[in-house]
Amino acid sequence: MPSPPPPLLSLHHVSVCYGAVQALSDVDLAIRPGEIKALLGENGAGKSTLMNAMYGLVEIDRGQLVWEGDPLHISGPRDARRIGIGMVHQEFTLIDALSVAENLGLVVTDDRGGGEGWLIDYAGVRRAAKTRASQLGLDIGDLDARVGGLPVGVRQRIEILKAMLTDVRLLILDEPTAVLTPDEIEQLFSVLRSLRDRGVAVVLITHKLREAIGLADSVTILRTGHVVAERQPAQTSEDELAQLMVGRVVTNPPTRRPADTSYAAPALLATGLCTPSAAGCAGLDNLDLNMPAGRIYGIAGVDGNGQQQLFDVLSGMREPLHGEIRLDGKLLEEHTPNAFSAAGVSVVAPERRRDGAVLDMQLWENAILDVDLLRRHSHGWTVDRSAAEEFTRGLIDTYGIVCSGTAATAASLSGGNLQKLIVGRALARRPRLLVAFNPTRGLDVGATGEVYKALGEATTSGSAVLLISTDLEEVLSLSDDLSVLFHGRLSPPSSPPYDRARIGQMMGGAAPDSPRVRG
Amino acid sequence: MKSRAITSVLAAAAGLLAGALVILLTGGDPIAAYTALAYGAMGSGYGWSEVAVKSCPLIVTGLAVALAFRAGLWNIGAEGQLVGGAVLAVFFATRTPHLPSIIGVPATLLAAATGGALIAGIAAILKLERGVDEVISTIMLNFIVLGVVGYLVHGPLMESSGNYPQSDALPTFARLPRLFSGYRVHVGLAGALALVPATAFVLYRTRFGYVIRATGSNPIATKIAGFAVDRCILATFVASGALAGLAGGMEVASVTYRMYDNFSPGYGYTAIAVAILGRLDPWGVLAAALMFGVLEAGSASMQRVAGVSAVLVSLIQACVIFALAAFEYQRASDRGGP
Repeated sequence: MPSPPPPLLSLHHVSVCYGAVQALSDVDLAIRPGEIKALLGENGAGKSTLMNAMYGLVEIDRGQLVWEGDPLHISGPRDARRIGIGMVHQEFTLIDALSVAENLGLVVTDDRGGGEGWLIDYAGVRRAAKTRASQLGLDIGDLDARVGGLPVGVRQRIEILKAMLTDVRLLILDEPTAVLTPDEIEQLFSVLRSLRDRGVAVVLITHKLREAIGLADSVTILRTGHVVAERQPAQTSEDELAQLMVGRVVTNPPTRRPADTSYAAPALLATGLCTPSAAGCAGLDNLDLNMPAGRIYGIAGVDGNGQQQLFDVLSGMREPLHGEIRLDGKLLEEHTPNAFSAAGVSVVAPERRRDGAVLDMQLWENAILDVDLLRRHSHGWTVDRSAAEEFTRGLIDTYGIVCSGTAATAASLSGGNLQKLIVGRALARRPRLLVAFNPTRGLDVGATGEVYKALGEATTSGSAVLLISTDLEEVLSLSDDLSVLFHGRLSPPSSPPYDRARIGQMMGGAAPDSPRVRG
Repeated sequence: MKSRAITSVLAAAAGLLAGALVILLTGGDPIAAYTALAYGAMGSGYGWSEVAVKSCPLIVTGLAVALAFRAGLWNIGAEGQLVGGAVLAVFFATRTPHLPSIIGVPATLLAAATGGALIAGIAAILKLERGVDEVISTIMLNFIVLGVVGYLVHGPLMESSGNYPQSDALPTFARLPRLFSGYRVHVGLAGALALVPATAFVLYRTRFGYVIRATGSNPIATKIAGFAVDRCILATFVASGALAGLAGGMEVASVTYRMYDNFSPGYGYTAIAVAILGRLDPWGVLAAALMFGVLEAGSASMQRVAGVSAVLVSLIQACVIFALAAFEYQRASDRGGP
């Protein structure tokens, strides 16, 4: 075996503090050209801080960065890009109101420092974007589409393209696969492999063990700001990595008793739902859904096939063009979240910080952010704070929510702990129907397990649970019934054991009854 | 909360400092000017009475603006709502046969609150039904109200003698009694002070207040959680307008007794500064309104004694808000990081 090339970027004893919180302590890391390195860790382990330090977004308090043997000082992303470090953020940095081409043009302009004239060369941007996209095998569609209207999967591809427009020698990706389909993930991985073969160093932040083992050349595990181990994928296992990540032995997701199938009346019966399609996003196309109570009904599918519309319609946020929704036989006539909530619908929205919590309010206030729960924790017109706090403490205990108390702001919680609160809140009122959309996106192993457990428990108390998720593994492992959403249409439900390959084909557009993938 | 209060105090100090600088640059003596201001406002019973008179409408409109802002509603129309409330109060009081004060005063104030609520209601309905931005609609409504008032005091509401473009004086049954003879301070002060804890109670203790705060911080999450956000917006807007209208009613029923052009010296606009300096908190609003009241009440004395134009007070008020914005920006970027 040839000796490894010298590191492209190395970190020596790097520490970063946010106020009193030590986000990184004494981290050593070496990234070599032509290497894919996975940074593995739970939420809050310091992965994002580490990448931000490499990209100039976070100032390091102690330690040093070394780039090709010379000390490196980066004072911002522009510096980082100039020497050839590119980054794909987990939360997108695209500007919704601008078109794809305009978003790409901004990067180019920014990198020039605005020094070369006043005009953005959009023709050049388009040419470069098209060439790059085809080189990398990224399908980004219409360059004139407004970014705000595009599905999340497409936005991510634009984000990747944006990072790759300039010559990049080190590419950092923060949880890039969270929103992608298996096919898209495979596509992304082949892009990353070909980059590696061209000598680019790739750093992949993830908490998905399978990805780390399947793709990376080396895996670095972070826990509470420390590097706890380095492994070669060939010499480790998912089990070992999981234990290193959480620092304890991981238990498998709870196996649920197969749900009772003898229910006669459906809990939710939706027929003929139609919504208009938006830029790049399929609308619902005469969609029927028949959900029995006490079961988890999984909706698999590639993002942008109508998931958001289905969620919006079933939460009352959007009135369908046609079609009707019945809950326990009762027609829901008023299409508002207020009316749906009153009828017994709870939701777990995909963007938890934006749609699921009021960040600057306290935990006990967020715990009763629900018409029914607020009423239950009130005396007449006034809110009964002590009852609400008691209730919140119950949620904290039940779901193991890590927080400084019921008076902490929702903003202070990590994504996983906030999501546990949101799910716990949604279940506390024993909804007839729980609609959960990507409920574990971006969560670590522990929090994901808690959410799965809670969804399972909801069914035992008689709720119908609709799990809309773009994480195929999740849908496969949790669902009692499963349909694939493609172009706004739902395949007939199938039952476990699922034919993974078949479902994968249907996600790509194969007709449910034909074994072929449609052109 | 505490650190936010400190920021407000620092901003107030910075505003006074900026004022002092301007006095210096224009060849005046800042110490003499501020001494005169402070003495004029707080050096005598009369001064204190004037502070109360100036603060009263600022407290009530400040609460009105703070309440709306808390729900995320940028009600810039407190001025129009205040004037509209006062007009309706005058209409009611001058067109009603004699009533006992015990009924006449509350009825006049109720008419004022209704006037403010109606004007705010227009903006709320435009927002909810047609998506009209309330910043635009409330500003426009301010101008409409001022125009209508101009017409009214030159026409239907003009005093019976027909001499001046102003309404008849309010009959005594509609007037708020004064607290001490010889001083303008009136019982409305007690009402304004009582509204502070009342608003705090509504905001922090009631379900309505909870929904207001949740809606203001995150309307989408609140809506998805099943709350009737539209109803909350309508109710809050109307309540805010009612408070502003009430302030106008109190002003006309206790200080001016008449309606005329330029009835309000911009209380509804100053209220925005008061609400922001008070951090949209009722007690903060009280403190900010008192400070601005002192400035307003002492400005005449400053002009008379130290020869510094009373307009300087507006400059100080503006600088306070600038300083606050700058401190807040600093705080936000200090907290920064991912």
